[in-house]
Amino acid sequence: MSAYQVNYFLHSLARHREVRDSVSRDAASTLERFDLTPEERTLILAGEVGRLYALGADGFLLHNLQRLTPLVADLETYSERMRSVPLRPMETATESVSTLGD
Amino acid sequence: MAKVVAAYGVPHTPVFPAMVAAQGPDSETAQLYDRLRRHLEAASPDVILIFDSDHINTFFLDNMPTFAVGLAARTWGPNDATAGLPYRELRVHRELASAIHTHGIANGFDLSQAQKFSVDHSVLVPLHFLMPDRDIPIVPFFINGLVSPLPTARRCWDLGLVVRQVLESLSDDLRVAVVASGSFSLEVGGPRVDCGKNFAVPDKAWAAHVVDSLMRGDAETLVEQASWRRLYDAGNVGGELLNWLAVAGVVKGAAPDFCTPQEQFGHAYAAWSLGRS
Repeated sequence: MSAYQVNYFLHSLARHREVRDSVSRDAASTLERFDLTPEERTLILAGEVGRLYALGADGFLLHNLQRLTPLVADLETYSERMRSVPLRPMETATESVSTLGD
Repeated sequence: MAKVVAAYGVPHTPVFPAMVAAQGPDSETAQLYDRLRRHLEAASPDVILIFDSDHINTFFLDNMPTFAVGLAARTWGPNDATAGLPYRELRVHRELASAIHTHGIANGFDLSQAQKFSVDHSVLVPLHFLMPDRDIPIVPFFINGLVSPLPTARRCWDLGLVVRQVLESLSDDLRVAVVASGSFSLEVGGPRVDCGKNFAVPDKAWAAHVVDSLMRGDAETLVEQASWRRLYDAGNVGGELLNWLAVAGVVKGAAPDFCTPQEQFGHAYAAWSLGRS
């Protein structure tokens, strides 16, 4: 999965009313305008925020899907799905990095 | 010489404007912000320099600055569809922003510049409460607090020290208030959210420790402790503490006049008085 493209869609929801309105009218058609894989589209349309997180999408941006679209029914659904997946470890790049002198 | 006359640390919880509108001026949150507003009005600043972490709204991952100064003449927000937060245009003090950008680079901080940008709730919620009826120009200073890898706590503290030096080296006779926007421990949208909510405070003990350290005038210990790991453990927006550490640098580690926590939210309201004259 390309977390970047999913994140871009989630960012666009917050930034552009037109995207929000379009998702409310016809979410599947709106997603065609974004460079998403079939799996990503399916998960977004199903409001599967936990699975999207597990595949690399940003947790903060994912809450836009509940806040700004009808794709996640309510906060109970959102929190249940998100809490069902493990917290990602801190990114590898920052786990392993060291500074001169360490 | 530009003079730092006051400094503040504030939360920017997106629901607060709507919540305070519903609960009224006697509600806890209204009172906490109002104390800061009165302090700010007494300090009578010409400019508000706000250290803020964009929530992946002003910027996106295609081009995410570690540090950026907003250099437009005007900006607007909220750009993130925050319910209950009125649309607002803001003046930017472009001359001061430009001076901080240039002198910051001259002093070893390779700052990005943004000449066309809007701002999200993390800038507008504080200003909604701090200057509800005024239009004091701002200087927006963006510190990456959400997208790994974050700048180090030491770097943000040093940034604050340099910003203070830069301000005091300028010939402009400006009164500057400095604001940090952010929480100490907060998860928004990620797997650590509470049941039925889209947020949680994963580490209340860390948030309390931050408040205690600031009140003791011991921000430098926080700088030592606030590793990437520590901030990550505090939540996916735990990096917002970096804005407070930049302000701590500006005030050279001085203890605030007060720092009042709201434990249930993992944040606090603080004010520093400096050089009133």
